[in-house]
Amino acid sequence: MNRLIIIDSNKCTGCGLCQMACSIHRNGQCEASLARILIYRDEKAGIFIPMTCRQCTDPPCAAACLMNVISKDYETGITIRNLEGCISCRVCQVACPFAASIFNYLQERVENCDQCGGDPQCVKYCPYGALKYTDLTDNMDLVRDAEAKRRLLP
Amino acid sequence: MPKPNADSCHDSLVREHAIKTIVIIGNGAAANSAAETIRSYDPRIQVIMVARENVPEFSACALPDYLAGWVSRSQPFIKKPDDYANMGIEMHWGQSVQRIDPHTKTVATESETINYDSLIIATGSRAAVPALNGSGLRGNFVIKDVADIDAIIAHRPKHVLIVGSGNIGIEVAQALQERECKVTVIEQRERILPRIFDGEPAGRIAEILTSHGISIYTGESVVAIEGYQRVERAFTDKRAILCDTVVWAAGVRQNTELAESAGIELGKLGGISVDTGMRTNIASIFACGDCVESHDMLTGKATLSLLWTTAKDQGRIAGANSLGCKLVYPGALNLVVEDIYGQCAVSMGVNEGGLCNQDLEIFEGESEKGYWRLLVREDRIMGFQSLGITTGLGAIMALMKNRMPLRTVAKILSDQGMMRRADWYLPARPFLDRLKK
Ligand SMILES: Cc1cc2nc3c(=O)[nH]c(=O)nc-3n(C[C@H](O)[C@H](O)[C@H](O)COP(=O)(O)OP(=O)(O)OC[C@H]3O[C@@H](n4cnc5c(N)ncnc54)[C@H](O)[C@@H]3O)c2cc1C
Repeated sequence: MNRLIIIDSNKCTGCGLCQMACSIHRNGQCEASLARILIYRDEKAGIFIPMTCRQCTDPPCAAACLMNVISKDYETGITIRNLEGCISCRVCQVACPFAASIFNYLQERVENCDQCGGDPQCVKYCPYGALKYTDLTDNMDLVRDAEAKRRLLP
Repeated sequence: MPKPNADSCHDSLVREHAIKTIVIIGNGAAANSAAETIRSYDPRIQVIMVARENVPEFSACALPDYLAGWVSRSQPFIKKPDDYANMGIEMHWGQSVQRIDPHTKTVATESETINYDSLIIATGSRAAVPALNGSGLRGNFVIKDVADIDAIIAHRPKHVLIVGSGNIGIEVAQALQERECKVTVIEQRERILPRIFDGEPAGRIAEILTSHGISIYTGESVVAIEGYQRVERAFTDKRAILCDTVVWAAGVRQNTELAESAGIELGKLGGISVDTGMRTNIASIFACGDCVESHDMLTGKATLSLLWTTAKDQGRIAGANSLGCKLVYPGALNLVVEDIYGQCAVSMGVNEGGLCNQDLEIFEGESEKGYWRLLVREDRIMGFQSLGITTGLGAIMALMKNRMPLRTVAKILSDQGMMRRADWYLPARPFLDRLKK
């Protein structure tokens, strides 16, 4: 994998500009539920956590897909979908641990973030630097994060 | 990112270079997954598939959608005829394997004998039709392939009786209602979807179906079909029902006869018995998909999963191991998602029946979006069912798959720093918060 959208939820204020940018850019329509990035909100605790496709190496959505339309692009590391074949059975939605398979009611298809082909709009519009589009090889945050996750798992 | 291959992908991968030819019997989800896996590991090894049918791979899961008219006839097909040759796979179409000879390492069809070094049996299953009076009359159907749907459509059904209320029966009921048929579903057990849902969610689903005009009778069995040359009425042990069409969705039978006659052992549930490497009791012969009996990931018990995802998963393991790898199948984890007139019904893991109600804690909840139900045993999630809910389910699935103890989850949720690091739990919070005692 070359580059990935990395999320620093400590910087997120929940403004939702990333979602607007995504929805407008990809659907020509401004609607948070159409965005391929979502924000988990706990307003009381003041926690906002953006979540989007992690481009898993061995994606559970692809393993679960009943129409075999999800695969990996081995050049870019992106999880891609042949949406023509999708019957929107929604199994991939349930299989994704990151809630990143998004049902698009306009297209009646389930989609995931494809990093806008290398120019992710959400990152561009995030005013607080909560989203970064980074080269994996030199990102220490990500390495630390992975370590933390390993320790959290039994 | 590198493509997975024989040398880089798996630590456990030890290729056996004596293996030159792999033969796969079948052309379903399991067979194709095995073939694709073999190809991704080894671009050159000879792969021969033998299939009874003359059509490329299709997904049975899309057949009800085609029957309803929601998708075109071509939609269920997920491969094109020349995809096989393009992948370097020799496809022997329209040939049925008659015999496997483990001593000479050959399989014989009607017209040829093929040598193998490794053999993968992926013969799948067929719809079960009991030998009742009248079950051979014109107007009796099963749903297994695209031609079955063509035949139902050509029959122009008006009054349909569906026998069995598993996921296939329920999907077909909605599809035929969409075609403006009058639909009746007969279920032998006391509730619909008995293998998939518990009483409460099954009851709610039944309510939605009946409110849309589908008649459902549970606790009844079909005992005979009658008619002059074609189906005219059916009898259950309680009533007579006028119908011109009967669809049998009352379970499937594993296609194990071929394997059995070669001396391959079956399990106690009737599927081909395999170890966790998808190996049968005979050396160099593997089996995967609907035809095998595997084990449940959560309970460890023998199971016939009969699901698409399971078939693909097992095909992957059988494919890799047929090359000499030592991959281990973690067990089947059921996941069924049904659209019930626009409401998403989900069942994952095991249901109450599958857990024999042992030491089970059940948590239920209801929001404006829908209903959910969590089954917990020994501090771990064993099953989850919901109706109308689409968010937060993936995290539950992941927790179930990881066998994560709920006290660990509680610890994480009570610590902000940890919570941010393990943010993927969060969409499932509405369910998890309820588990705190
Ligand atoms: C209507 C319907 C809806 C479904 N919906 C869902 C769903 O929503 N979700 C889900 O998870 N699962 C669903 N399933 C189940 C899923 O489709 C199966 O679990 C899956 O297709 C099994 O794949 P398989 O490769 O093991 O077997 P099969 O698909 O049965 O393939 C067996 C193959 O072996 C061939 N074969 C058999 N014997 C021989 C022989 N002697 N010689 C040569 N070839 C032979 C057959 O021709 C066939 O190509 C559904 C099934 C049906 C029928």
